[in-house]
Amino acid sequence: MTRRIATGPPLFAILAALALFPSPVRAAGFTETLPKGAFLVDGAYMNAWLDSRWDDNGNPAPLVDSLERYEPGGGKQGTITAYPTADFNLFILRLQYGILDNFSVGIAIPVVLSTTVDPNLGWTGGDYQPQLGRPYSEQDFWEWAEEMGQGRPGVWKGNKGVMADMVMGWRLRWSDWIKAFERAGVGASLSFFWSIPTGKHADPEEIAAVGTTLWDLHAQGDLSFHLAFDKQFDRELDGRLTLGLDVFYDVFFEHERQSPKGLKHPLLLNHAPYIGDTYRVDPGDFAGFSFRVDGVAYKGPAWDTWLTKGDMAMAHKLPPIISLHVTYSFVHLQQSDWTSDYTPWDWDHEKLWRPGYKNILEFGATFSFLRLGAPFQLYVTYRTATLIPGKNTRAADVLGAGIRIPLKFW
Amino acid sequence: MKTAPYRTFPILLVIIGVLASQWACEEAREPTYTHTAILEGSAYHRGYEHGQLYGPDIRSLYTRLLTNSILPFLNREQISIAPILKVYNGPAYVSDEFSLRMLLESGRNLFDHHIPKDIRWEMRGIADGAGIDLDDIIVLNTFVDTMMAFRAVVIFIKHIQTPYVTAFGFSGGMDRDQVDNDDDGETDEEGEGSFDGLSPSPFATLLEVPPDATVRIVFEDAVLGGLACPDPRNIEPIGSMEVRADCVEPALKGECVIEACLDRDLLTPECMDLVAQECMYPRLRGDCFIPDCIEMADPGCVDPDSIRIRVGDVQYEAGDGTILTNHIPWEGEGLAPGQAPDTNPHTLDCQGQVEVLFTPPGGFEAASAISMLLQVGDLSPIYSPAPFHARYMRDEQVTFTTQGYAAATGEGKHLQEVNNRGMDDGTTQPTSISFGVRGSATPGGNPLLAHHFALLDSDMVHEHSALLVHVPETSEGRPHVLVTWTGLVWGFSGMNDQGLAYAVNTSDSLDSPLVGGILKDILEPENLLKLLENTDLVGLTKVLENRRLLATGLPAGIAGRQLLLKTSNVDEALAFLHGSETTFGWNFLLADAEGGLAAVEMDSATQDESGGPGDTVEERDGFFYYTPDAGEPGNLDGSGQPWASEGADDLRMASHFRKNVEDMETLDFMGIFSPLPQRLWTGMYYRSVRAWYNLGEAIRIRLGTIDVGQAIEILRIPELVDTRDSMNAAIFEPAAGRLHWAMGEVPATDADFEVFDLAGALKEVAR
Repeated sequence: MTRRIATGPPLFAILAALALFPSPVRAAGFTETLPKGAFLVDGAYMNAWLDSRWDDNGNPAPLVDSLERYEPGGGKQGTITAYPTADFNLFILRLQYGILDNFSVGIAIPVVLSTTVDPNLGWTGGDYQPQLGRPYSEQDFWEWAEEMGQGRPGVWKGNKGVMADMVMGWRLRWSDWIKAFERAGVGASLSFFWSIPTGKHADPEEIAAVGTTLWDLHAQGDLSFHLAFDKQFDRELDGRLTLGLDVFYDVFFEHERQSPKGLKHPLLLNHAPYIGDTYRVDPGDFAGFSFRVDGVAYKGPAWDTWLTKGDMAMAHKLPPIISLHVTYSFVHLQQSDWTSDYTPWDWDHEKLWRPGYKNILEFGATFSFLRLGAPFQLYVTYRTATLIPGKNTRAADVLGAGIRIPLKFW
Repeated sequence: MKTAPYRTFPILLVIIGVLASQWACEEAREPTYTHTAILEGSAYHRGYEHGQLYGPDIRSLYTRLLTNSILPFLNREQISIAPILKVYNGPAYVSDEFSLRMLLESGRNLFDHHIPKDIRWEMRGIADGAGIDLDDIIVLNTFVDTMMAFRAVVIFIKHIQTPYVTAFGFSGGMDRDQVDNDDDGETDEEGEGSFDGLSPSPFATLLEVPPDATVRIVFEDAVLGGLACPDPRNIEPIGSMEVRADCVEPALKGECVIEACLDRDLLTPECMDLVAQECMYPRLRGDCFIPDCIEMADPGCVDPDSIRIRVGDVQYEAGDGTILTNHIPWEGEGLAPGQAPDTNPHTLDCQGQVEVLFTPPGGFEAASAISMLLQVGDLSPIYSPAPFHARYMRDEQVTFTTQGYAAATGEGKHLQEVNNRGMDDGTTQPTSISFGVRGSATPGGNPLLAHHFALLDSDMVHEHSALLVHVPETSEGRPHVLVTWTGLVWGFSGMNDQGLAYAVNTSDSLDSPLVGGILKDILEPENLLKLLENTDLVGLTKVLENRRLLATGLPAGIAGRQLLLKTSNVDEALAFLHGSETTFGWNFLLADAEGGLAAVEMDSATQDESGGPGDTVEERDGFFYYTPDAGEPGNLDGSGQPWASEGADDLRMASHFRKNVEDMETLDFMGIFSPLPQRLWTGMYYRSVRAWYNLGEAIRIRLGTIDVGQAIEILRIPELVDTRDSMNAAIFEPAAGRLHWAMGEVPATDADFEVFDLAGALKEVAR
């Protein structure tokens, strides 16, 4: 057992769904804020799954490389193939508050409900072994490894009810102060988010474990800056179409991590003696843009209910009953930098996190019942990084569903 | 103002541009895995600098090669050693500690008593400079010598438990074909074409065999008694004391534990007393098992279904219609001749011999040299070391010619004229090789020494490659360069400022201090008496009660280092090696700036030390050397051919002995436990023989043209490259003080050969 296993954080590039302002109450778009004095409680369940990555050539590949095994001085035993799959269940609670009509603040509290990682190990036989009278079979190899002290890694289940990093932020729709924007039906906003490090790192002693920090989730940076524009076609299309553009830059902070000492996997994860007790990871920053189209599928009737205190005009301004959106995001990923005492070990990790990009498509539908006097919205989203090839990134799919409840106490 | 919003888009574009500029951040690049350094000063200072420069690399090498690979790998072999050397059953050697403790004890013995003082100081310097425990540096620098000798003992112990060939021959009338088929000087003598057993050889076994002949092989399985291993996984503790055990063989499923033992703990660590034969497995009380169970675990039966015969690149297996087997039961009272009934009652039907008759479809190809490979397993499963497997004998390789070969080729009238090269079928890798050329073998007459070392990469050693130049203080020796790895004070090749270059390969031998110590105990008169009383394993364990496996002598790499420090030419190097005690079997190839070229085959000379080292180089036990000079009788084999040269100015070695063929003589009184010469037991033998022949052919067709480029071409010939455990490759130009080295990849020869000008570097240092 010799080869260093590249382990550690982002086994999954999953959830860009932590965004603080997912979609507005009033309508769709990147620039929406809450009305002054209004609260929005948003609870969402998300399931993310992952079984492949885009490699340096933009081709789909297993999440981890195959591992060639050699018997000391005895030639090639074979190749451990791995086609890991991961499943992530997450609940995100978001609270937002409108300080001004064009300035909102909020907090997102994500809790990982469970994570399951199945390494799905396979085997390709190697050299003929005269002393066995055969090449190593998969069973032969793991019997051998077990006698060496290394059991076969199994399915890992964990992160039950574990907090991820919380995110706080604000959004200012500064275009409200410029009449020309309003006349043109264009909204422009500036948003800023920052994380609170409530997530946990993956257990360094586990081969398939996953952490819950933003870097582990590959969602957004520890600091995130957004400049967004929406163009609404109120006059031309009765507000049934909105186009949005969001340009963002996400900064990840450098993290220190504990090195594995081989306590559970003595032969595969005994790295601390030569890389040091800790190592540092500078994940590199994200930068990119999103283009979004929001459309009204069914505006529906507007009733003068208690929500609008019988004000029909206000009722007509409430979101349509069914709206749909499609978002395309391009995210450039910087090189991740690993720093330990041993440079080749750093490279083993860095080579999996070379500069790259991901292309993400998101489809969503929102069902709003505000116009009917019911104070909530239901929504579903499907977000995929597998449809359009990326580079040096995990290809995750996320399905989410949630409910939003606006509140106003004064 | 109406257009104001759109004026923001240029701003946006600027922002995007700024962001895009950071996308071009630097991409990580794969680091180089080779290190070069010039170390100057006292031994300690050089070591300290070495340690400081490469501390993490040294720790990586130790952790990944030893902690994660070699140590647990050797721990698995405790079960092979402990039943014979009881000291390794002791609590100090509990399973996880066995190998480290054994390697450290042996390394400490070498460090304290055999490694020169300057080298010891250099090792201390490395430890201090890297902040690593000195014991770790000692183990790192000595484990190869101990491990090779230990591994040889383990392989030998396994070898004596496998099936073996008791008869080999051909039907087809070779006793009346008017040909001296076995090249013994007699024609058509009785039984010509048949042998008792098989004698591994680098040459053909028979000549002019009729193409339609049937091969007859008789296999028999070894039964030692006491080494049987019931499946420990079938031993299920019930409560704290009761034990239920099932035999391995389904036919005997059921309780194998005698009633009196049902309340006793069978899995006791104290159950190691083989003297009383109470254990058949290191943790199981043998006296608690009914004899049938014990016998069933190790019945001593050849498995006829496991027979495999390969002719050329075609493999034939039992059941495919080409291989017929006959079971030959033991005769008389159900006992094997000479087999003690209390250790093996021989009551099972499968016991006896298996006769194999093999005829390939259509017969053998006429007028050809045929290479045949034989293998068979037994019905004694081994559970540890894992994985579960039968005991398989080493692949035996036989070459013979068929009728018409001599007439067609003009060769093949004598066995030595036909190589037992075997097939390059990819199932095994070539071993380490080295060759030297000079004078007429080269275009300019300048000597070259080329080396490709392969032994143990484990997919990581190549990441720690180093080319280290040592410039010692004058009193400590000559400046030199080593092709090595971080943390080591030695290398398998190197060259000094005078142009003396060496390359050393392993050559498996039981003639090592480890076996020597065992023999010393056995040959004590008092112990011989004990052995005569108990000729089986029990007797052996009695006399080896306190024996430990300790290497002695000068580790091979350190011997090479001493050559560079202390000698200037091949003659001086020969004298140095001749006066050295060595740790194992090693093949040194030496070259110097004046065209000196010599091969040395060394072992530990443990069998006959009575005369001590002789007055001449040739007379010392365990020391065999030869050069390309055909004028010297010592350089020629029994048939008058050079030992290892294709012309007048070339010499080559692989990982087997050419001249020291009886490196270990058999001791009949030890019966099955008698040590054997390397050709009879090591799996490296046929691999090395094939590599050696392939290398000879490569040299022969290039004679007169072998410069550095040609030498690189030879080292890269696929049949000469171990793609799994290649470790480094180097070509030395002794006269020019230059070397060309390739490391950091597997195989090493895939890397570019870098040029290093030692002479120039030393001039720079002198300034």
